[in-house]
Amino acid sequence: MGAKVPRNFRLLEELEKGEKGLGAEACSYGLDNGDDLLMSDWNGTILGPPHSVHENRIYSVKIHCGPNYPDIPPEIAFTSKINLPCVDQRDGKVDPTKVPCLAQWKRDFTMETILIELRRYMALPQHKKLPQPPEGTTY
Amino acid sequence: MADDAPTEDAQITFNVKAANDKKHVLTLPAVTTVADLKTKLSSSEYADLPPERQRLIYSGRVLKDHDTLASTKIKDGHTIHLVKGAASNARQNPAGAGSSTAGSTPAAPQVPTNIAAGTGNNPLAGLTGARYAGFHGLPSMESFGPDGGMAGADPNQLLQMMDDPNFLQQMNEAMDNPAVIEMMQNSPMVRQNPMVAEILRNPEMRRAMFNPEMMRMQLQMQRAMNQNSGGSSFPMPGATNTTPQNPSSNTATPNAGAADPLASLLGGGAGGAGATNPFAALLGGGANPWGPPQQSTPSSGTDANTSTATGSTENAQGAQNTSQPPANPFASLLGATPTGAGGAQQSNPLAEMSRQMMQNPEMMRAAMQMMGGAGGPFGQPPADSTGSGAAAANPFAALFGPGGGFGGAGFGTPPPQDSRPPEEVYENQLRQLNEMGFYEFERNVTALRRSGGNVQAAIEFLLVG
Repeated sequence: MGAKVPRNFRLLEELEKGEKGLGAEACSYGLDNGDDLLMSDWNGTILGPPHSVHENRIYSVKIHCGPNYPDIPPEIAFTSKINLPCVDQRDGKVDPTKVPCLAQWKRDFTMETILIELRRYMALPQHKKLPQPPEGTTY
Repeated sequence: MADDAPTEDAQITFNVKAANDKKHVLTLPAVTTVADLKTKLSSSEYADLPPERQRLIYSGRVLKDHDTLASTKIKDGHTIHLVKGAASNARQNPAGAGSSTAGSTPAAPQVPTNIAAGTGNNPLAGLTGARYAGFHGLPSMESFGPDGGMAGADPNQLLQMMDDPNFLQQMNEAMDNPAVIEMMQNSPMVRQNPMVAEILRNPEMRRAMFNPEMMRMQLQMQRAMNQNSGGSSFPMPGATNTTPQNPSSNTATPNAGAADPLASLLGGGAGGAGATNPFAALLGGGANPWGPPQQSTPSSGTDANTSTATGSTENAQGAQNTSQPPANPFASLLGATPTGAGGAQQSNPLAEMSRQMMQNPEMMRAAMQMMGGAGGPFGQPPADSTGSGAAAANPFAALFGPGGGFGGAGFGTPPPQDSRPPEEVYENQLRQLNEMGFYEFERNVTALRRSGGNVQAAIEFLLVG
């Protein structure tokens, strides 16, 4: 299976990719606090997918990578209010059992994978019409 | 710009990546505020977007106007994403249809890409927008059922609309517009079935499907099929008198009674009533492949036609006890190319497509659904085949049903459930997937469902999802 990339190398890799904007257009992510040596807390944004109620919206999420990342998935919580079945309406936390990529986490998934998956989750036919709270409101 | 900034402030060279893949490289002092940056970007040299509509995202954060570059901790070589914020409505539709495009832009007909949130969820919203709402009257209120769908649509009205050249022109325009096509392809029903998507991609097929002439035929067929067996099976559009005097059958109809539905089909191609008779249109002007004298059955047609015509005849007889071989919505797809090239006699670009279609049950089902309620007599009838044909099968329901109501058995309904268990339906595909190492039954089935039974697409879904 090849060598396991240790947590910090992996996060550094992701950090560079996020800062330089090498990844997908619709998502962005970076460290919450540049001085955070453990690289635990991250911010992410998701651009609402087109042809859905989310179009033209920007959703912010907080990502917490625990010490065991990437063996276990990070914790995700929306900062922007959003109405999605996988998001706890009280605190914005994403229920990992309801998002396929978190429920079936693989080591080579990245935070970008999650953001893209969440975006796709928003665009699912059954989700893309859900009424949404006004833009700009936060948890 | 502010190159005379304090020297201890390092210049930062960074990229700004805009939505359309444009990349701008900027070098600015670290004290520059985000508001300044936006102002700079708003010039035509860069993004050409007013500052209040710009959203800058860096490192997973939306940058606030009062932030400085230093406080965002952006470094050399990093990238800020520039996103267009929600549009104000005023900017969207150049009012009216067409006349206002005098601007210098080489305005290709464009469905507004920044559909406001309300309609954004309707894949066909663009069609109902101002652009295609030009001269023709929209269907009157009564054509919308109590649920807002087109359930009560009056076929006569739709036919009338079809006769309006303005409307036809707009339809054509819409169908030639890649953005519209794209929207249709994005509609879940189409997206989940590669075959349907393929059909939409085929311009020939597309034109045939949305050919108003074709739609008219279809409407008429449905009407005919839903009417009681008395009266003319194929009334003229708008005819209120449905007595057996079918005007198209008055000439050269060997041994066929006036009320015989076949008469119009087999009757002289040169019959005076050609224009109003749906089947004259179907068989194309003079090049009637089933010439009048032979009175041959439709099954002597070429391959693609044969399979459907005969097949559907049996079905139709079984299910509805009407003996109208031509009353086959597929005939309209298979028979006439919009150029009136006389059915499938020539090397018909549709033949291949239709043959594929016939062999793919999933596809059949999807097509049937599009055809709507009238699909009753065919193949696997949708669960509720009682739906009044004209409304449900009406292609316009899809075009005009914004928001909720796609009407009856139209686009909105889920595919009719195949009663067989998935392991049986997808037996082969599942075995293939197993051989490739995908062992999770549930996921495999889900993937196969989504891909309409296409293994390749299912694998893609499994790998990505």
